[in-house]
Amino acid sequence: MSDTAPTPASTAAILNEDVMVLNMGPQHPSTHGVLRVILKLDGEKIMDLDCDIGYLHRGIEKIVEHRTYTGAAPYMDRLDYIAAVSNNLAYIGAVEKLAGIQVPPKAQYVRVILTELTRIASHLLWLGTHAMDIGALTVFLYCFREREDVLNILEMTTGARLTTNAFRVGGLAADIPDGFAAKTRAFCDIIGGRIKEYEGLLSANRIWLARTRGIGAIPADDAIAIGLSGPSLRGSGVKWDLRKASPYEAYDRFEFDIPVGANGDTYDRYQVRLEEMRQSRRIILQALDGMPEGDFRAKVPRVLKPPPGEVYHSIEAPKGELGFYLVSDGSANPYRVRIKGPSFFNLQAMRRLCVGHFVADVVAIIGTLDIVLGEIDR
Amino acid sequence: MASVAQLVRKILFVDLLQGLAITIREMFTPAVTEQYPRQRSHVYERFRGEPRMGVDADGRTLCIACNLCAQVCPEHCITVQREKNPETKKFELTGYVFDMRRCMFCGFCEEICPTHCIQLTPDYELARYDVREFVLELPALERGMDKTHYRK
Repeated sequence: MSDTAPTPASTAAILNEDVMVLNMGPQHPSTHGVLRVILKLDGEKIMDLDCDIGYLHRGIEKIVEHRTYTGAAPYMDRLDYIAAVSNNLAYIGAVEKLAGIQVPPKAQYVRVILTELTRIASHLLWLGTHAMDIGALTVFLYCFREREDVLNILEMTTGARLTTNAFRVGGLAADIPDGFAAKTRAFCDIIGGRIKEYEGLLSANRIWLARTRGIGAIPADDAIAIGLSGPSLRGSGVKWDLRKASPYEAYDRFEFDIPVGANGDTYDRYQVRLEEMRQSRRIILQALDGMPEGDFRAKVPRVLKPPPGEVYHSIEAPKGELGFYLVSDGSANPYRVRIKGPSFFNLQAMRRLCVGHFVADVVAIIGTLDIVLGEIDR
Repeated sequence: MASVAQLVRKILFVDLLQGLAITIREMFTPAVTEQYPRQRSHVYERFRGEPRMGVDADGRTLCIACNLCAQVCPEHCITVQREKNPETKKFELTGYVFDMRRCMFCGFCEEICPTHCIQLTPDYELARYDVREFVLELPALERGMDKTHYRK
């Protein structure tokens, strides 16, 4: 044996073998939906890969061109279906910007609370499935127990667990129900301790460390160049959060920190998301304490016809920057709706993160990017 | 020094035992799983499930055939059949079809209904064997869908 370890390219050459092509997905439990990853393998090592998307394409951008501005909102819940409230908020925010509608402060606070609860729920689902992919089944069960509490609060407030259709143009669908504050506070009381439990199960665990540390590392420059956003970007140490950078709703009135990682590997992104859950809890408690009185919905004409023009509105969804670009021609239906979903951009980092790692790490990297195919394929 | 302590912790499996301690503690807390068919889950008042139409004390429909629900429905799954009464010059309801195959339970219809006639009730067991059962007409909407109760 020579004293330098053979590079992956040379191993295939030495053995005079072709590179193997492996289709991972579209029906694979670890691709979190219907993602097909075409892997070029040299043994277990990834030489190249390509992501094939579009299996969940429903044409939402086109469908909503034939809906009214208000009637298009429920479709947005079906983009990132584990954080439906965030999608709804981004779309409704874009319509409000286009039509120049002011939202009452109470509605803004409730929107913040529900969106942050959704962020916690989304991160819990991410943590549970990500840990299960890597082999820690216990965390999955614990995370889903807590997520159930969030879904109960959403069901109590909006009437549905997943496809919430939570907000209306101008405010909320209905005032917050009795017991909302108490239930949310009770959830905030337990979630802090529960996050500690997840950390106890994972953070020091040697298997977890071996599977996440140094896997899928990406430096800040590359992360920005690829267009990563959300926790995937902050894991690389970029302090970029739209809640601080361009505050929407009432986010400028709350105190919270933006957690960042150092190495940009899977472990850092894991810690960023855990810390984000704590920060979300902080925001929820502040919003509950400072909840203003008053209307929950502004006066909005029943048939909404925004003036001709175009608008881009983006929010910090659990997975990153979620933006809506709306073009109005003055009629009751949007002329064009363009959705900039964070998962689609985060998926572009797959090749950069995976090449050189092993097949088993692809599962970890798909997990750490926190993609949802409903949003990628739209 | 720190690395020696780390090594000792690693040899003694401290990191794994720490996780096991949490799991063992969990064994003494009550179970949270719902035993579904035997144990019905609690559904909140606002839950949007099976659509129903209300009747007044005499059993007449509350619907005033205003057609707002049909207009607001994003999926166009509601058809209001109505006729204009030449004497009163008001619309009268002749039929109402709710196509639940297309319904996505957004709740816009119950929100806009001026008489609170159409409502999405907290009934969530909506699975059926025949897809035709999902096209609901006025009597079915007033009576409610036929329920199948599964027993052991």
